[in-house]
Amino acid sequence: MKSNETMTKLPANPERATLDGKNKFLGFWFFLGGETVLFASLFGVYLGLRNATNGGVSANELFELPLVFIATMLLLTSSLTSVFATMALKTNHFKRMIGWFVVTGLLGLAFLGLEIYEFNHYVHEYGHTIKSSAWGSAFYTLVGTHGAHVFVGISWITILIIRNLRRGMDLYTAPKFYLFALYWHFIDVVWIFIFTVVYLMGKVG
Amino acid sequence: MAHHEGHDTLSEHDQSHLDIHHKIAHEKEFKQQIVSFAMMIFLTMIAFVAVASDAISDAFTVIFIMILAGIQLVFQLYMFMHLSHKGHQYPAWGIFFGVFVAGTCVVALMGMIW
Repeated sequence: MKSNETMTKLPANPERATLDGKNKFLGFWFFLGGETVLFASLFGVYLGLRNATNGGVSANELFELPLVFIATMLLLTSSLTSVFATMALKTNHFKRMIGWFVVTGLLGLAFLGLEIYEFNHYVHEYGHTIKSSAWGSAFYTLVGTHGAHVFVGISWITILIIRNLRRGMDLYTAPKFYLFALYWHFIDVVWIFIFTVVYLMGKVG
Repeated sequence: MAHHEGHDTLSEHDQSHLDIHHKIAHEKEFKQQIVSFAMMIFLTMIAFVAVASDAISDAFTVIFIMILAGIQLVFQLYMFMHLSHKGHQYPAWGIFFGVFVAGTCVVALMGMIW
């Protein structure tokens, strides 16, 4: 409970206290608006092609809900841990923030591992590849683009932590970490729609 | 709550008041985030159960799980991404313009391919 000495050092919203921070904050939200459209185009194509299986395995036969459920829980939990990190950021607890971001990154890594296992399983056990059907192309492009975003996120936070570990919390580092948290939540938002539209709707038929 | 030794100056006194307000706000936010997270886990489970069980018709299931995803989107944006906080008017415009174009895009692509 040494909050007094730590909380007085930075303003209430350190991520938006400087002009640089304000610009990054606004620009990043606009970027996320653009990302939404990128994923929308992939979702639209997926929905149009989801029954174009070219005589191969169908979504209903391919997907296993327990695996998708575990992946969803991992990503949802990592979204919560990055909220904790953001709260630590706002109360100027640098080490606590780093700790939560490390947990976030590890959960992301577990998610990515599960996705690699899943893709590998589909290709080798079912012959479901990016070339096997129009549906295959749409599936791997959509889910793969999301997976690439998770990979970029993990790389981003790893570099941020290594780069700023000694610097500590100030008005220069706060916007950087805050934007990563926003990005990570966005990745989770996209996943919510992937598990709903791709996996659950695939099971419904 | 805040252990403040000696309020010798007025500004320091004010500062400690400000800190207490921040602290209360943060404790409140912490609770809200936990509740949001529990809600999102709950909604996810309902969606999986709705699909796994044969109790409801397929057409209704699709609409139902899409609504659940929409609710989760709102939770993420407003609770986890703090869109409800002060100073988020322009970010809200940015993301909702994106969502609008995204919706149009999905409908158009689906329609074109079908």
